[in-house]
Amino acid sequence: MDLTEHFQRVGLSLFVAFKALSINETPVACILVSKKSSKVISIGYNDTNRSLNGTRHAEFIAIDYILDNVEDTFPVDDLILYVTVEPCIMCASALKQVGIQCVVYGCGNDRFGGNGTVLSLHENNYGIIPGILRTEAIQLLRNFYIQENESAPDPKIKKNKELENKLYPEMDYGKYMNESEFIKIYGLERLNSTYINKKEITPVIGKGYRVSDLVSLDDVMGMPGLENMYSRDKKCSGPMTREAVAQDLDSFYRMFYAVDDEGDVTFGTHIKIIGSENKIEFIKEGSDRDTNEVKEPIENGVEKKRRKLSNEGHLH
Amino acid sequence: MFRVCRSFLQDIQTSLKLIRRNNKQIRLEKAKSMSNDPTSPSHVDLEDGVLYGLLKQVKHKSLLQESQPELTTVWCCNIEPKQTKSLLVFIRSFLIPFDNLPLSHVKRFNKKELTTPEGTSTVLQAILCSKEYLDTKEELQNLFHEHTYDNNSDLSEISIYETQIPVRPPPTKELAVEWSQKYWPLSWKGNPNHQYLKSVKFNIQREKSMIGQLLKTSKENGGLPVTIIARESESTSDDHEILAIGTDNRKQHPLQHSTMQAIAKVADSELKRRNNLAENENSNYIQQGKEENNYLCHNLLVYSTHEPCVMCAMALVHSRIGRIIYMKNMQNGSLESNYQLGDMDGLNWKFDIWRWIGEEDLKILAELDAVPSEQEI
Ligand SMILES: [Zn+2]
Ligand SMILES: [Zn+2]
Repeated sequence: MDLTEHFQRVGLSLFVAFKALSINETPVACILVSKKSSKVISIGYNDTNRSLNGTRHAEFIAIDYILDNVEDTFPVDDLILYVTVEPCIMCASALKQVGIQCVVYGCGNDRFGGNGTVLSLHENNYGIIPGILRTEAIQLLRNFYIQENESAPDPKIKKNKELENKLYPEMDYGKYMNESEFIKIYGLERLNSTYINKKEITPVIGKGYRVSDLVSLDDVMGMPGLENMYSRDKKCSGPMTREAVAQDLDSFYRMFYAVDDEGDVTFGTHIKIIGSENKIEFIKEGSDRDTNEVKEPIENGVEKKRRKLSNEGHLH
Repeated sequence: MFRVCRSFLQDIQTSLKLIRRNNKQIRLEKAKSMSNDPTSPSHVDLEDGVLYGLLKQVKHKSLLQESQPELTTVWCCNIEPKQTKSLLVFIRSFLIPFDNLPLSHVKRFNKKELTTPEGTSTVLQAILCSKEYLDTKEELQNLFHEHTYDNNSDLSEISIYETQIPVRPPPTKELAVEWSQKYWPLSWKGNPNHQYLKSVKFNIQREKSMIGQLLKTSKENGGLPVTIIARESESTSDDHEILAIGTDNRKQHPLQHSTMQAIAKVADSELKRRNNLAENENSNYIQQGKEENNYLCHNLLVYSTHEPCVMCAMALVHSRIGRIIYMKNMQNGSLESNYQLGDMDGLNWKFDIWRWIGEEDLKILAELDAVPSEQEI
């Protein structure tokens, strides 16, 4: 079963979440896609800090955008939500009330998840497809914690061998669905690798991926409402020009590790940029380091301790 | 609760608040024998959890039959009876003032008879502090070394180990006995929820006035659901200070339930206030911390004509309100009818839940009420 389209769409949400980091919001974001037209109808990102309203989660922003700009009424019955983190209980209930058809999400929401982790509000209401770009969603949240924790003494890259294979907490799909439901969504071929052996899902079975393969500049530029984020981002990129977005996209790609054909995150890989076209190549640990080498996802003691204790965080 | 706090490491401040809060909100089973408690103030009905005949306490149903206690880990040590006094001095000076662990329902010492071939000897087990306060055994040992070395009864060599104790007091006398045998000696001081009911304070005139305000606003809006957010006013006025009145707006937007509207209004007016402030004295404007930013409704009072739906109740959890009083239970409500959000373990916030049972007010609401019973409010 080819899941590439799901990956590309959660990938777009992931970029929006990445952008939320630069306007000081929690990096959780979503897009709403129309089933019929396959078009992105709206985007949403956590807006609690700007609005001073702890309920302004990404899902609400995306829904409000539709009512303000696209449709007169809800429920619009052909919408699929692609979101980086499992919707919280509040949002999961809201999604039911507006008649969302399906929710595709990245990582689970340990503390508040309303689509399988704490409550299962989608049951008998809408479908869920968890685990798409799961580790990448966690990675963004970690970067946010670090950003928030600027007191962390030395934010330099530190390799921690002992953590390499367990860097992201595993996802237990059994908590979200039974085997036959899993097979229906992801295909029988993934049952062993992912449902049982907890390997990461890749877009195509047996083939690894990099975020840079999934999210293109044109697709990002095509998202409605993204310019609002750019107008809020005074200190980083400024107004939304193609160049500014390309530049952001470049830093965005570099935040994540590649996932290999077996569904393992390649923690040992670092990224090298070749030439001026920003072509990216992944190099295994131990081979020559290039001067253009880019920072790997930051790892430090604070983070390590926190991860030991909690999963993806409580932020959504 | 211990587990909750551990995974909420990133804001220790908040964690501590949570501990205190959970302690405050003791909610447990009714002890039948206590219903004629002579110390009970006349407005309190311990049996039914009703105050002034108007406010009914809403509690998590699973907690009403709490037979498995939530446990927390503490550090313990074994001492000889003669060391008791110096250990107590040590605990009182260096641990109790800093440890947030609630121990009023737990006995500090546990007497144990050890039988050896030479005969029996008495050993005292003592609770030192929570593992929440001191993470490692070494920290505790260092404390002992630092502060007891010149003392006659040497405590620096005692062995320290961990054990688990119930976080909350046992709800019944029977469970107090059972848990004492199973975990650690506990003291029975009467039903903790009764203690809570006797101590909880309402200015009932103000509450009546708020209910009146709900009904008035609903009437003005064709019987639509209404939610009010207020702050307990310090003055002697007859009313709480109303911060926002939200009315159901789902005709325009399916998610604009009265509670969501009220929360948004609180945020909007604060945002306006800050913007004005920034304009007037732009240089003095300081960016507020997260606590001030995201939790404007922190510990505020909420009033609602109807039991809120899952979305709205969770919005109240996210907003960290202090208490809600609502009037009408709903089929799809989520405070008493389903899920018991607001009183659910594992979420990072709980608030007090009361249902208004004043018959005349409910009659007025029933006449006004324009929403079908299965509607999500
Ligand atoms: Zn949410
Ligand atoms: Zn509602």
